[in-house]
Amino acid sequence: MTSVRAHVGIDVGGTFTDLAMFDAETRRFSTVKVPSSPPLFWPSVIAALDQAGIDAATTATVLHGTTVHLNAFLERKGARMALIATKGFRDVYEMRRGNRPQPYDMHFRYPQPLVARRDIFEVAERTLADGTIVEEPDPQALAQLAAEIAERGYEAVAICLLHSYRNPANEAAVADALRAALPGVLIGPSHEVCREWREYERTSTAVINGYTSPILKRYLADLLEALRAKAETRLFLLQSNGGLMRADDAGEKGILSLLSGPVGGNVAGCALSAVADMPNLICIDMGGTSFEASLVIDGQSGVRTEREVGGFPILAPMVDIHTIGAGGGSIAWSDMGALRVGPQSAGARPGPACYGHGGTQPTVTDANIALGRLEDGCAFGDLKLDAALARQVIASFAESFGLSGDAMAQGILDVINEQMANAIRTITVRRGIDPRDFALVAYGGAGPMHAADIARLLNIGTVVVPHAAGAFSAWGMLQSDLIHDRAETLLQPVDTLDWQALDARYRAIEEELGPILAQEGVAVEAIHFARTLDIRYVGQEHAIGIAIDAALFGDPAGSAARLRADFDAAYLATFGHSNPDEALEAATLRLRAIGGIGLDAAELIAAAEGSDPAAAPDRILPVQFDGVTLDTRFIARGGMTPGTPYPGPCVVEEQTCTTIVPPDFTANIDTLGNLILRWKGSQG
Amino acid sequence: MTVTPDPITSEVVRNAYNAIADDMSAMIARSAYSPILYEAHDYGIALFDRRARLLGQYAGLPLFTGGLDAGLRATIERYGLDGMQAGDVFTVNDSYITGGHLNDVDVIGVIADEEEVLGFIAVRAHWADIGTAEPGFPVNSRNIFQEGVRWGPTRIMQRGEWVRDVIDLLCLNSRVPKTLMGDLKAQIAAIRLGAERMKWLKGRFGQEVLEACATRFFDATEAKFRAFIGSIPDGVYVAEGCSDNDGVTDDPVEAKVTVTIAGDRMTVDTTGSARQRPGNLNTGYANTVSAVRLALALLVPEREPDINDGSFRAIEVIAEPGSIYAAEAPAPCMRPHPVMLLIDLIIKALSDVLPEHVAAGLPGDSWNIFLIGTDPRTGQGFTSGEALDGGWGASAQGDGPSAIIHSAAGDFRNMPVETLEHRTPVLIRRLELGRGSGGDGEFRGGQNVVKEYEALADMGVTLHFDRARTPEWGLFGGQDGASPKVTVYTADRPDGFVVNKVEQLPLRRGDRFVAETGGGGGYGPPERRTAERRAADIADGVVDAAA
Repeated sequence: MTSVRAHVGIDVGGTFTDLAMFDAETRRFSTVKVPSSPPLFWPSVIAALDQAGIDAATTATVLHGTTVHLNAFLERKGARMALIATKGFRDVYEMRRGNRPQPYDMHFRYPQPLVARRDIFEVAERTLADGTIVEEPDPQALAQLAAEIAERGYEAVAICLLHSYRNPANEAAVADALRAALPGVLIGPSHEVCREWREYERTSTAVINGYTSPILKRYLADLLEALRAKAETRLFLLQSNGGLMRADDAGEKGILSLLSGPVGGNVAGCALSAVADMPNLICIDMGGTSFEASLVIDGQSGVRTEREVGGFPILAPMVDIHTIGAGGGSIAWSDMGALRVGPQSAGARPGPACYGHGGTQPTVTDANIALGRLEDGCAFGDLKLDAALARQVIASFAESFGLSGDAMAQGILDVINEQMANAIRTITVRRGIDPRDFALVAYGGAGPMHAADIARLLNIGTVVVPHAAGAFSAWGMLQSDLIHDRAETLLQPVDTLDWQALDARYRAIEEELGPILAQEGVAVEAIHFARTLDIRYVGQEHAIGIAIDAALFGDPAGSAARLRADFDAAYLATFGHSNPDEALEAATLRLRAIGGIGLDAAELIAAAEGSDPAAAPDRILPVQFDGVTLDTRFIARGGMTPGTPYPGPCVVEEQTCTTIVPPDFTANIDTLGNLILRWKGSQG
Repeated sequence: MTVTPDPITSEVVRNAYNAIADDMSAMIARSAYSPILYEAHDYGIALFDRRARLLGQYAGLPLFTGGLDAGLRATIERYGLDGMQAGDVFTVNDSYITGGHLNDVDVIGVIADEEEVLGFIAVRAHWADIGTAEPGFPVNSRNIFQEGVRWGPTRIMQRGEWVRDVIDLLCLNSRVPKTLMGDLKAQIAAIRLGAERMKWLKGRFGQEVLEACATRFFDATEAKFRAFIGSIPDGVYVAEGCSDNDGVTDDPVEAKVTVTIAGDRMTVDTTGSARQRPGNLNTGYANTVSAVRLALALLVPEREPDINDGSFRAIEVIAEPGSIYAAEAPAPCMRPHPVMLLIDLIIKALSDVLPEHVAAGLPGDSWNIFLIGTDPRTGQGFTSGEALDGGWGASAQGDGPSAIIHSAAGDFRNMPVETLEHRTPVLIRRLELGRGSGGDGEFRGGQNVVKEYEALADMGVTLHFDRARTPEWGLFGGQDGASPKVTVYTADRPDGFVVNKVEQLPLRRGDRFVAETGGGGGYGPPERRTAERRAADIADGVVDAAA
């Protein structure tokens, strides 16, 4: 890479835009926070750069996470688009898989499809399951189709033809014809973003790509133009898989960066994992309305190759972020005498009762302040929170249950904590992963208030509230690498696997992806590849990804034996049993191309700015823990001495968040500046 | 840690039981061998206390979960609680006990610690083959002995060790023993996961607290269901229909249901329905009970009602022994279609008094297609089983969804064309929503599925398509949906012939058949359908422009 003066990570959230910067000349690290600028959002990126002192004299690498296209998708404000299917299969997209996930709902409806049936076109063509083409698309028919699409004025066209995962030639032919005829229209064939089978899921993936890409493309064009006017910059976008890609081309494949915004915290978790020597982390982000959880396993983002977003399936590697409607604003309500909390949120207006904006329903934040876990009168943005208002609504709500206000406040916390723990179980226990092997990393406004209680529910012994928790995502981006993933459906018995052919296939993909990384500015020696095969017992559907050592390909027998042993071991670890005499099938080959550009975390931490000097003094206040009122020490995080244990109960305050240390936990600042909470009840 | 007051702890515990069942479901989907389990989710999971009271469940296939208590009670009766230990696993598939057909096998794990039996976890899953006369589901079996191996409550694992004799017997009687063992291990792995979590719950709260919580949320749920039934005007409500035939004789199989609402109690009586038949449309009583429970849960306005021991205390189910709804040995029970019809008929019976809650006729069958033969590409035998979707009934809330699974099956997913063509020598020529197949009305019924198959090798096709004689009815002036049918085109009969139920009809390479499922019933008079909706129907090809 050319020498760069500033490395800048920018995370654009709904309310605030955070910037983290490392200056390569002065070797200083700094952060900046500015208000976000909806609906365009890119002006806040420029504003943050202004405030950080980036100007025409600077050369900067800008690493960026955005939610513009995700939000457009979730709010159904994506591109006006068409879909092209194989003749006879126009309705596959609307038919979905026919299941009713809420089986007792007589009126169950899926969300309206993103493409109406009148905007779905058919092409006479056919490829068989083995890749044989029995009918090629007719060029004349394609010309006619292009004319009709032009006339109807679509911004994007997705194409998904049967068995294109196996042989994409027909799909590519349709795409080529349309690209030639329709400059300016985004043409998105499914095989360019997904090479896996199952026509509905692949169609859905291609449709979401078409629906979101024009939005992202417009945003990036605006941002790139503004950046060009400002300084010598190179812009990279965070992808859903946790890696970066060059922003200039990212707008063609919006699906790859759909979770660009939410994934930032997990990427930071990976960086933290490396520097703090904690291989396994559960990353939790709790804000006003939602709670997000994701995993770092052995220092890598926990990735899933299939998931649903906004009610539609996506076949693409994405960090496994699980979101539920649980936040500080979640409302407590009575369901015929049973206490329920959320998913409805009081939002910012009227907000929790303690905001004093006329909120009359008790929320999680009200419960926290009623129990003294937040100080009466403390500031929350530019709000002053009023404990009396919170106690009042909770007490009157508690009457119908025949409970005291304090018991109800504790109950609200118990219920919401349980829900968050269950969300974590969804991405751990349900995937065969034991949460006790993990430390919990909490960031976001409300996360550190609940982290210890959630950890206890999951039998997790260690909680980390990271250094720079406020700009955690932006901090993490500085340490990310460029990543390109590729997957291809294989469906071959492992016994008769042609390792040479497989090696050649991997090499071909490497030869395709390597130059892309080089073009993005990665030095050749910093490029490396990771090969994985998805393996299963013959007859199964779900497979487990097994890493394949490229050096082993020369020795087929050794490779097969190693694969067998690794798979059986992984299967045993996940399901508690294995079948070593059962034949194996290689379902999918996956290649990840990695271009190392990230900064070294240790260097970043050494360069960090000093602690917040304007902190409140230590004081003792009463706080209720599980029905018992205890004298509790309120301390400023900046005033804590590294290496000194602070036994709970105490409350650690900093500018962006508050951390609760319950009586059965001890707090500590480690050598990296992380706030570490250890549970005394932990078994290990 | 102190225990917080009851309404809160009981909510936490209630959630925990359902979360355990959901986690178990993910475990089965990820490790099962049969497409019908991992792809279609043809299983149900329920957690019970030591008195066989339902604590929580994964509904998946709701007709399954509604009947899981029956097999458990029979198992407790046979072995006694005192004879049970941690690591014991039992199984039962007897249709006259569980209600389901023999392929639906209950696997029941004992959850216990050193001190006591804490409860049970039961998983009912569709096993690929348990030794039926022919592969797939026979359409024309005449007694239960042709439908596979049948067993009452049987111990298959003792303190975590296989009871080898029994396992060997089961495997020897299956065409696909490896698949059978793979699926069974998946069920047991899920039960182990659930057992750990139930023991952990005891450690956290103590068994006494857990029991107090269960009592509390059972009662709260019961109150909710009673409040709903109490809101329905008292009266006696009747609906009738028929299944097309029983697969052996061509006579229709009458079904009649009488729903009596008296205060907060509901009685569902199937008296007047056909006596058990020589063909295999019969079912055990437990299945009838499960269908009634499912109908009630569908009628309750909540989208995700709480389902536990309290949910169904207010209902009574009457079925005459020896009728199709409470069949006795040796009646064949492979294809209990009248149970699916019963769910729809209960909804229809109450439509006049619950016009805002109900929907018009729902998808009336699982519309099964089995393809059986030897793949010339590999020389390997194949059996492919599918359930097709149909049009859902319209309701006061709008048009019915198209191409969706019938009411008894829930989270059951259809077979992707790409998967089917990879596994089976067959070419799907089209897969479409049938134009004009949804019943017209102010709100239109959902569209059916039209799927055309071409055999790429010689094979046999087994079909089960019912509800031609009682199509999915319209309500309040809405029209009926299209009737299901299958048309077969062979070299000998190029103009085609219709056959809805058949056992292994031979197809030659190049022969085709077109399967059309049922369209959903319409709701309200067609003349009240708005001009905008009619224009959209044409623009989107829901109906032909000329219609």
